[in-house]
Amino acid sequence: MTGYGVDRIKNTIPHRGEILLVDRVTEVVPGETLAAVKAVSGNEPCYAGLGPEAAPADYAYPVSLVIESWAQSAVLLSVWENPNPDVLAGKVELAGSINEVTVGARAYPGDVLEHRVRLVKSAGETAVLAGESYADGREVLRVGTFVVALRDVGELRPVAERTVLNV
Amino acid sequence: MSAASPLGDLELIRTGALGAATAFDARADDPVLDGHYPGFPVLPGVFLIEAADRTVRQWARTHAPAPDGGDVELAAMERCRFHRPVFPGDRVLSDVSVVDSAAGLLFKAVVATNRGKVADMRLRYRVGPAHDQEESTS
Repeated sequence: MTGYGVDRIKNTIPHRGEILLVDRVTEVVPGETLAAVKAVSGNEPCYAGLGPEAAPADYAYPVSLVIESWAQSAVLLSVWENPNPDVLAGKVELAGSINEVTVGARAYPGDVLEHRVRLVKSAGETAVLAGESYADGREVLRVGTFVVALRDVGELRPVAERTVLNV
Repeated sequence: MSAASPLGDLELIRTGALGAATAFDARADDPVLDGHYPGFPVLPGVFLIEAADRTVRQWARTHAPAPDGGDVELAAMERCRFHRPVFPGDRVLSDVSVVDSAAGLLFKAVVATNRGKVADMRLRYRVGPAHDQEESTS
């Protein structure tokens, strides 16, 4: 295997279980770029509700999950050298905004999503990233800007009823 | 709803010529929340995009059906801003309205819980067949 597997991924970001949507980091230049892959499989929970009447197009991988998978790759790059695998021991990654997103070809079970991420800017605990996703050489997603911030969990608990900063 | 989705059923609250609103509950027993994140469950922000997108597609089935009989397709998300997290037990309301229908369909969406606005976005749809359609298997 080349690159970094789920062991390194789980030691870097806090996502677990069915919502961990990155399988391997294939290339990383810390502070600059990262490439990662995620294999789409027909046994994923998003397909569980489809019955025998489902059309082929119904098996298009949800765009929201393509975005999530790309965004997890982006978070991997932003914390690669300063891992944050446990939100209770560290901080929680929260998406602030995601703009200028274009959706291209759709991915289907059996496809491998190839994510490319570039760090555009990093200031304190906020990072701005951009990039694309491909499946079988076709562009699936293009992200103009993704802003992600690390926040203290205590700052966010709903019981506190405090205003969360808009990022 | 027939397309694959990470979200369960949406309840249709309102629909009309200019838009629609749906609601769903962020359930504490949703397995997604076990992993997002262990010890601090918050709904992934992309689920709000999913809810808004499905609300638009559901609206379009009756108000702007695609020529091929399929659903309209999300072509671009011009902006999406997340204002605050969604926690287990929250009821999430997605309100989408048509901004422009001249070139494709442009929607604005506001997603809120009882604590206030959690996200807003602008979503653009292609109404004709997808540009990769001819190469895809069907």
